Amino acid sequence: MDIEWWKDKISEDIYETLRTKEQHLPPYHGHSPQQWFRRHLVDWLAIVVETFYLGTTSQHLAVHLLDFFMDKLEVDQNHLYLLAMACLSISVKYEEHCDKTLKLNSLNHMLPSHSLLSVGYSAAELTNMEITVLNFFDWSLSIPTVAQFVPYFLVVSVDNHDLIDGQPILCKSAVVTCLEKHTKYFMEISLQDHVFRNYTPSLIAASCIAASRISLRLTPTWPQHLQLMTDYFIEELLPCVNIMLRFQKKDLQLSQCSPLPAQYPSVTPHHQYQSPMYNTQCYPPNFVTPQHMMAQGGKPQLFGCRGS
Amino acid sequence: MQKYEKLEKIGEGTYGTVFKAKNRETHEVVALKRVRLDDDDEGVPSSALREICLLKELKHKNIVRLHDVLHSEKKLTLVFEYCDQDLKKYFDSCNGEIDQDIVKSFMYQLLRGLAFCHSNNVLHRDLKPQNLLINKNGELKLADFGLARAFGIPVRFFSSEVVTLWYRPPDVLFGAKMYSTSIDMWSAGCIFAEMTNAGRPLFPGNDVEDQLKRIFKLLGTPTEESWLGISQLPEYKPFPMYHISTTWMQVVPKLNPKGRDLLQRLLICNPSGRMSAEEGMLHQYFSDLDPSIKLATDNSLILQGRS
Repeated sequence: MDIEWWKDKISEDIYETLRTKEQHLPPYHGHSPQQWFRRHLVDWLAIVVETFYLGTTSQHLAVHLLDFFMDKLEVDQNHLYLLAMACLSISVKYEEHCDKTLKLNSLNHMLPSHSLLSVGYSAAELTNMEITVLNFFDWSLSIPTVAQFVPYFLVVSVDNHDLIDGQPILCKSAVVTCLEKHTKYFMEISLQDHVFRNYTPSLIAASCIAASRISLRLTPTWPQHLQLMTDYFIEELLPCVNIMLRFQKKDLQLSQCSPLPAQYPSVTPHHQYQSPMYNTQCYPPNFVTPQHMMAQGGKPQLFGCRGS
Repeated sequence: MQKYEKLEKIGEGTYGTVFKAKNRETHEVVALKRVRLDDDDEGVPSSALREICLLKELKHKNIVRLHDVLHSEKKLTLVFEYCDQDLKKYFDSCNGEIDQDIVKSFMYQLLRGLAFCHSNNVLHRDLKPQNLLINKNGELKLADFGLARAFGIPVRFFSSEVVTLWYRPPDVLFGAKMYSTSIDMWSAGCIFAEMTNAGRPLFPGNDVEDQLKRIFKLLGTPTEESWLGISQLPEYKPFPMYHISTTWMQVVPKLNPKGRDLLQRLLICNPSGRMSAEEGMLHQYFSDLDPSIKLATDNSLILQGRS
């Protein structure tokens, strides 16, 4: 059902609350001696999120909890996955419908086989870790994340007056679909590296849209309505956008160099995110409908390797 | 649990037993809600997790205060401020007679508590007399946030299996999964009518169909004209156009015309037409409300800052 929810007073209030709250996020230092393990955990969370069809809000909240917890406390090396598990499990319980609540068994099942944890964790271990994390955050989970801002910005992300490669847009809905895919990809990128913790969630969300518009060669890159909606000038976004585009370039290079078939690009220890590429389907003259794109498996393959 | 001396069992919440207890040091009387942490495989129960997280954020004099969360081996204990009774028990003690000034005061406090929840992005989703606590000073407090949730954006899909049948709005009865603060406003309307009638429920339906029938018999059956999109709701089914035989005067005889106007603005089938809590507080019905009730002391409105 397509209601114009963003015109609602309530959604306006929520937006204002989120913007105020993000100003009070604690500083992130990135000093954890276990920082090197972060990427493994974030990638693992991404796989679990995809496997169980969880929402991006849960995913972003989980990574927030993980980052700020690790920033202050060191965890036994064998309990790092338990920590990631607890962060996700808490986030899902807070954010999603109760039938999405994760079962310990299914989480244990997702643990990497090479880890020391072939037996998995016990229910008591998970509960205790959850409570440790909840106490650490003083049970305050109403935390603004990138995933909460993106829907607001997506609404105004494509305009009828936009040009694509200098040409007028022929089918707005196809461009919107394409842009959403790119945005989803850049949201993933923003979780991969802790460098993004230097920026506020709303700035990262706006940067995801800007990076997507650049990738799709939409002009003007940052039209006035986006500037007004997000309250950011393109100059403020560029440092963050540039990091995103660098990551994208690296992903594209990796996927092109890969000796393996395209659907199994990852041989690195890290989970590799495949960029949606410059999707020619978006551009005139050979336009296709979003339905057609779906039929072609147009869903961006964010995860090359299923961590098997 | 040395810190508190258990006095008596006061009830069963959505997820666990509630006891009246006394702080051994300060002698403060509190309510303890015990949550058993079974060795099942889901960790902390999600209803308990939500209630704690939301109440940690909601510090307001019309919302039950969560003082502390204690964790011991196999259980969590939530320490709440103690209230003498809930609205349901209060009705039972009224013997069919209720002072309309008290109704006005309770209704105002209910709206004020709701306005605070809504401005903090929290939907209660299970308002009913049993979940409204009353203390000796005539203060009303929203409690039992086990089904409540924070909403990031209203477009998100929620469960339609919320709110006890009698207080459930028509859109949710038709299976709407996209709702916002209006869900609580309908329940508030039902409770308002129930209060002025000293505890006689407004729409005591037996099942979903009966519930909708009772609603439409009073308010008229909504149509696509009065409620755009009604027929698109997941569990929509057409109802006959009932002949409306009861007047509002008959439904809430004790309520004055201004109160009836407020009630009718809350009980609107189309969720987008329902009055908000904030608007409700400004309604004419409350113009002669005792000023001491209206006065919300500043320190009651402190939103807890996060470290």
